[in-house]
Amino acid sequence: MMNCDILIIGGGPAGLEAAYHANKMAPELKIIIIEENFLLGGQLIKQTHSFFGSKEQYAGTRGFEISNLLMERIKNKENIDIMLQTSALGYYEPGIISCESSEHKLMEIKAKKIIVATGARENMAVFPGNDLPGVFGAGAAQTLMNVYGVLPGKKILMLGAGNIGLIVSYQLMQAGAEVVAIVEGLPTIGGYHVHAAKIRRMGVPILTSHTVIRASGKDKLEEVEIAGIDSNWKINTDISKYNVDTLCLSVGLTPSIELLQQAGCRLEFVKELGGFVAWHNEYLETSNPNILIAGDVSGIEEASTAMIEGRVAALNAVSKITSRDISEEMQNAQDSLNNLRRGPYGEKARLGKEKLIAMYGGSHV
Amino acid sequence: MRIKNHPVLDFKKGKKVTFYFNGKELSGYEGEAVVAALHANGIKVLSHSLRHKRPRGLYCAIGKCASCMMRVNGIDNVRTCILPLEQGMKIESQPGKGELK
Amino acid sequence: MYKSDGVLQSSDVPLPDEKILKKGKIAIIECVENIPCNPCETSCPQGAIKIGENICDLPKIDYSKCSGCSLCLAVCPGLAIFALNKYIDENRSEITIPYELNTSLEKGMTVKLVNRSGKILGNGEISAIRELKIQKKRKLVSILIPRELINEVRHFMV
Repeated sequence: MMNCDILIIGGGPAGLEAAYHANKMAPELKIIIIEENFLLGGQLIKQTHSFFGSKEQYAGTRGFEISNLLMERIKNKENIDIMLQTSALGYYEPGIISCESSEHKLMEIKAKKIIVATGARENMAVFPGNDLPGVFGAGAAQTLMNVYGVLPGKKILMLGAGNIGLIVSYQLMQAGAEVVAIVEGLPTIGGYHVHAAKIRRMGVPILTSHTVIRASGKDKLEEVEIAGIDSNWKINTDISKYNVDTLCLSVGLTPSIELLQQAGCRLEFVKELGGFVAWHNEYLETSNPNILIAGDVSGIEEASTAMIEGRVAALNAVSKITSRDISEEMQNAQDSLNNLRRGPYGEKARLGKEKLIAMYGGSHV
Repeated sequence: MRIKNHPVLDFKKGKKVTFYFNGKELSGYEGEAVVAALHANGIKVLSHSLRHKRPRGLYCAIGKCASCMMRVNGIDNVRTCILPLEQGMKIESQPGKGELK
Repeated sequence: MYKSDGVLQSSDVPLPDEKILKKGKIAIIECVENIPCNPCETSCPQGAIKIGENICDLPKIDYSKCSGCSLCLAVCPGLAIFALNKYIDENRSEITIPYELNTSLEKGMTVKLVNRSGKILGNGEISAIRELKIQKKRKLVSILIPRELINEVRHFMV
């Protein structure tokens, strides 16, 4: 059994920032990050566009460059160990995580505090043929082209005009693919106008109030049928057919809460946060005193909020383990989060978090 | 299809390696995800579903959906989207649920 | 309505007064939503862009300070800032467009001028291509265009 002070599960922006800030606050603490992939950086490593937010969150810097910066600042830190290709398998009291190591051996890590930063997964859309090879989550298209330099296909249809659908469509054009259209079920574009503007001036149509009816092909995707829908999601136009080799689905994310569920954390369904999440308060404590959460697993948001939540969870963990006074740093972090959640685009997460914290009186564990 | 020129990214590749997909010799780059090497070789059908034998391919690419599970060097249920390619790797479509060895 | 089709009308983003346009090269920001974002404000060396304490507020340019240096074009995450020089010569205007696509470009090249909905409006000539240190791989492409298209052209094709 390995022992450590803080075990961080997930090496994306939330996990990397949690490690950095815990180490900065308390360099004597032993920190382990486990990541099931062979690359760190989570979804940041695929982002070629420059980020929003303020200077503190590296606004204006490209996502993959932010990822490099976050990784750089924890590299070579004496008490931070990073284990790649290591999957968490289960939680046992009091604060033990069993995992599969990169050598395919079972091992256990006991920690004083565990920060679960496992991110989220892409949703599926339901239509005949949605299981054909060539139907990817939008994130998968991004991974193939931006991480590995492999074009997912030549002619792409994108389902979903939220930020991911708009950004990935643009990135597909940058990579040399042709995006024939973006299809969106709602009557309005969910993502930022500036992302939509970029793709529209490249001549890519955004068909709002439309949806995918069917995907077909022999062995792999060859054709997608779409149609217009009314406000009750009933088809109200003829069907149009597109010959494409790739259909990207960008229809929302769901927090990856499996480990938290297995650990017996209290779960709540909060639509605004993307579905079921572990109940948590503003200090990111769950109903299990050993487990904190951070990033998309606590509610679907942005990389910028994930980074700050990593910081909040780390500060909390450090204060519980060492009794250090972190109140000023915690206030700064909370202020940063609140600033990012102002404005119409932050409303969903803000409401979701407020709803959650208000349950059970919002008490500390 | 490999991207040759990208307006923002420079792709650093490991050394070129050969590997095998269902017995066929292919080439890829050391350290890239196995599914990326397969896609670069035009391979999108990774396996078939259990009952109805529907073709299966990549979906999430980050190890969360199980669509890319294949038999690698004789071991079943390997998520090939988060597995780095190595020289001589034997990748096979997994027949059915897989066996625990 | 831009929320349903992704296209701003020229009337959504009116140009500054003629008095300001006659000064020379200036930046214009086509940013209409309250997104938490302020790199334009923090990058402007002249302090000409103001957002303020609430970073969701919209940026406003003080044209008495804007020099048209185009640093804001290089940092805007939304590629939503352009530079204009309405009276660059007797007949034409010049528009500078932030560009991150994969095409070889050369000064003097003729390009097709494209509006906010992707429609081709005519031809223009590339007058300059810059890449600033603050944002590598983003080209700032200046194009000479017919003056009447100054609030229409926001993209180009080779």
